[in-house]
Amino acid sequence: MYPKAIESYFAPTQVSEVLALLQQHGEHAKLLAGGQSLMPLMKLRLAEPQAIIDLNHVAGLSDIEEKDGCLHLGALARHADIAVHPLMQQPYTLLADAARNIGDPQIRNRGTIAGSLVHADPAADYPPAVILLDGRLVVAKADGSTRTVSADDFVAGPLMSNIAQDELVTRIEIPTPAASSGGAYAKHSQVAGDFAIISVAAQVTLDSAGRCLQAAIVIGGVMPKPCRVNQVSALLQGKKLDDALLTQAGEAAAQEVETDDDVRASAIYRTQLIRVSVPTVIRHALARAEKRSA
Amino acid sequence: MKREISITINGEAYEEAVDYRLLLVDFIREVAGLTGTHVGCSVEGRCGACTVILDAKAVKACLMLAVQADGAKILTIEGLAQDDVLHPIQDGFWEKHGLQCGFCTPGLLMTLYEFLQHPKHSDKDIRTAMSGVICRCTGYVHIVEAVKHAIAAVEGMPPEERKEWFPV
Repeated sequence: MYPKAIESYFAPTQVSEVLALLQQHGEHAKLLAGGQSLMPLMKLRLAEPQAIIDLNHVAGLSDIEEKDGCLHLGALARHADIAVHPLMQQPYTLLADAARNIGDPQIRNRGTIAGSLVHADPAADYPPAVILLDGRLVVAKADGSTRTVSADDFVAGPLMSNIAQDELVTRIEIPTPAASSGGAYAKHSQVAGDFAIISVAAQVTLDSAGRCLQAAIVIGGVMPKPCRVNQVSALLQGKKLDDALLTQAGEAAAQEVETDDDVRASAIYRTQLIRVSVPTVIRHALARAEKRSA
Repeated sequence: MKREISITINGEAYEEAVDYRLLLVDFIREVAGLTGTHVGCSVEGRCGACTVILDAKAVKACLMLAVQADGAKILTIEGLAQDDVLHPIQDGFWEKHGLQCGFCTPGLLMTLYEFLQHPKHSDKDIRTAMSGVICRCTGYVHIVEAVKHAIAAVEGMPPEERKEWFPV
């Protein structure tokens, strides 16, 4: 199928121009970032924008830098660039894991982090990773002001995000994890490059004795949005993360997270994947935390 | 509804007033007449047969509007060989029988063109690199062999020769 005829196409170079265009065309316009989800939606006529506002020429939206105790990712930072960026090696390994797991090389060359978060596919890779890391989105408004919203509040549900028609996400901020902390992300999918049946993001912070000071786990690929598993965090806190405890963690996650049947997998299969994947991903995060603490 | 755009494909500039909704792959095929870039799935961008190099990156030309590529430099399958000499990645496919029906081959070759500039050597890395192109004939075994053949050829070249094969 082919996209429905588009009446106007704009290629602004400044954020202020984008916001003015959104005010003018908001209801009928779509922002085009990487386009790797939008173009298929337009071909399927699930999206029929009259106006396209192409963000790819807007200056300063692709920067990746660390400042003020935060990682700043420009809205248009591409998955391929995030996957190999030197800053991602440590301490944001979890984000690089997520970026590497998205689609395929061609998709990663175009797709953007803000595009993925705004699209809010419940089986996408970035939402669980950014929610787990307590990420925030900086949103510019037409009146020139900005607001900051946590990724957990921003990702509202399946294909629903907390953004108004006249707003633009300009960057994502991720607080730098503690020095004795490590993270990992992994997913199960049917074929290479597919969306997740389930995914697991884990961040483990160790104390000076090598015990778990803090553990955070988020499960993706479940409805209506990525789910933080608080019981696992409580179970692991203050303890040495040995194999027996991690098996218990998998069991606790399988019990806490509600799963559904859909075209990709049954609820019971999802639950079993959570049970076996949670220990594996925590172990990976733990190994990275130990490496950083050493 | 239309915009005048100019896209340089394989060193030649193509100018045309196009509908906003025209997909880049159709600009390449219909406006420039370069039909080596194929259309497979045509919807979700899963098959990868339409992959081209756009400003040094492998992209799926069915997931972009032509107007987005205004001013861009594109390399397609027609631009790989130099005169009558096959590009190392084409030569690998020739030597190792890396194709059967050939429909996905242009997409595979363009995807691997980017990979070959910074190649990794394991089977897993090679298969990951081409995970964005679906081949329904080969089962990929001969393609992996072809890529290894091409990696060896490229890595055996003096830097200046290598640069000639990878102009973008």
